[in-house]
Amino acid sequence: MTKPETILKAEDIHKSFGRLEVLKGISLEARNHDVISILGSSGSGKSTFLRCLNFLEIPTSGKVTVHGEEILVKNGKPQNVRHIEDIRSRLGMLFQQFNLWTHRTALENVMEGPVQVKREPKADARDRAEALLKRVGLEDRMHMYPSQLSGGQQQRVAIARALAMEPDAILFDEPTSALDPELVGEVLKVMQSLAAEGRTMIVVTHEMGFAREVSSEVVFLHEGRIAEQGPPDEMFTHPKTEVFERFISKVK
Amino acid sequence: MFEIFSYGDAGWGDEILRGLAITVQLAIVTLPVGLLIGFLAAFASLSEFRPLRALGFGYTTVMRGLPEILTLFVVYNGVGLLLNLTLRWWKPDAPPTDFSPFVAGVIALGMVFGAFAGEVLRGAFQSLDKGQVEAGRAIGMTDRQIFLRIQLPQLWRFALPGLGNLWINMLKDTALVSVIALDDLMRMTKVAVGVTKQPFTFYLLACLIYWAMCVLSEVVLARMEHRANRGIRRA
Repeated sequence: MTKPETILKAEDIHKSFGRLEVLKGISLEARNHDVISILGSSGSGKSTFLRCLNFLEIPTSGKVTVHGEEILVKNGKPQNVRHIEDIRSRLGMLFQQFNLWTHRTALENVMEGPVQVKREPKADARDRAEALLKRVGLEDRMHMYPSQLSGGQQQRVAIARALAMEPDAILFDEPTSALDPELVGEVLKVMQSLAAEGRTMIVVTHEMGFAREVSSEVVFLHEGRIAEQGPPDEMFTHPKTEVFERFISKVK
Repeated sequence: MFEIFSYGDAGWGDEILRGLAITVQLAIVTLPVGLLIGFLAAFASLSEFRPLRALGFGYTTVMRGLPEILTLFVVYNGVGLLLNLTLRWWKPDAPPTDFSPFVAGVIALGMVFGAFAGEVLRGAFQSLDKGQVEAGRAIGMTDRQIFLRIQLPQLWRFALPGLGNLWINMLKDTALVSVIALDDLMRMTKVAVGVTKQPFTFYLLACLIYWAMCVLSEVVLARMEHRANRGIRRA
């Protein structure tokens, strides 16, 4: 058997906001088909770390490698800025607030990336966008604007929008935190199906059920460092650190 | 009694219409100039580069602080003077040229429109949801694509009401160019009044024409706002 290929690699990521050091050297490697859940209490730096992976937040220092493209950051300056857009187009991203473009319909939202960034012909992009929206169960909502959709539907459009770019990996930044409780399930179900088809995913979440049952690896951040890391079963049944033990007892 | 409005030598209809045409041309040519200056002022005042920011704010304060008619005089006389000085330096024996009052009007009105539009556009940029831009970044769009495909289309929703006001103001301010001898609607009206000694008739006519242009503008603006708000739930 061949060793699974590395999709995304982050090495020694540091990030400071002014004097406050939020990330104190985090390294993470995602291989093909990995589903990594990142847990941590608020202020642990988990969202900041995720946003450093596609340079929505520029790390203070560290190295990120995606698809062989390597970006080294020193003193808050990426050493080869030109590759940032490449890296971003290879990583899908889901936001807590969905961030669908409000002036475009669901279908137009999904087509935008392929047409504008990948320069695909419009007709092809439309066919694929329709198929993707069908896949997330929204074939009858394609021509609606985001404001006409529920939060759960918006997040599913956002998933289709990310998939349309055929990303190497997808980053999820608390994708269900802004949803009404009864809408969380429909989004988690889609995420679960993505995991089942072998997508590489990195998920910052508060959904312990998802972390435990769907992910292949759990990373627990505490005060800007990885406090504990491992397969979910082992971590949840035998927490090694006191902070993680306290964390799971609180969220349960 | 409608003879004085007729077309041709006997009436003033053709003169007034020609004046109206000049007024409309002036306003329509000024608009893109003013918008361009407005965008430049907005970019400057939002810049992270401090001298540029100072320049943007400085321009806005100065232009807002001057009466429009003074700006017009400064542009007409000042730029005219400058033009002739440069001409003489370049070609000492050239005869002095006149600076077109139309161009002076476009520049002066455009500068005023631009200063106010800069503030409207700056406010609109700051009202945009940051998440919209982040979604564009995350998918790999360039700054240029993000500006053209995301920010600009969403900008109008916040900027149109303010820009609409400025347009109507500017439409009426075109009357100021009559003092630098541009044959616009206002000046032709005054000429007609001077000759016919019927001030009430012609001033009322001018009032109606200016008002009609404003109403027409309001209708068009309402449609544009409706379109800019597509996809936005109305409260």
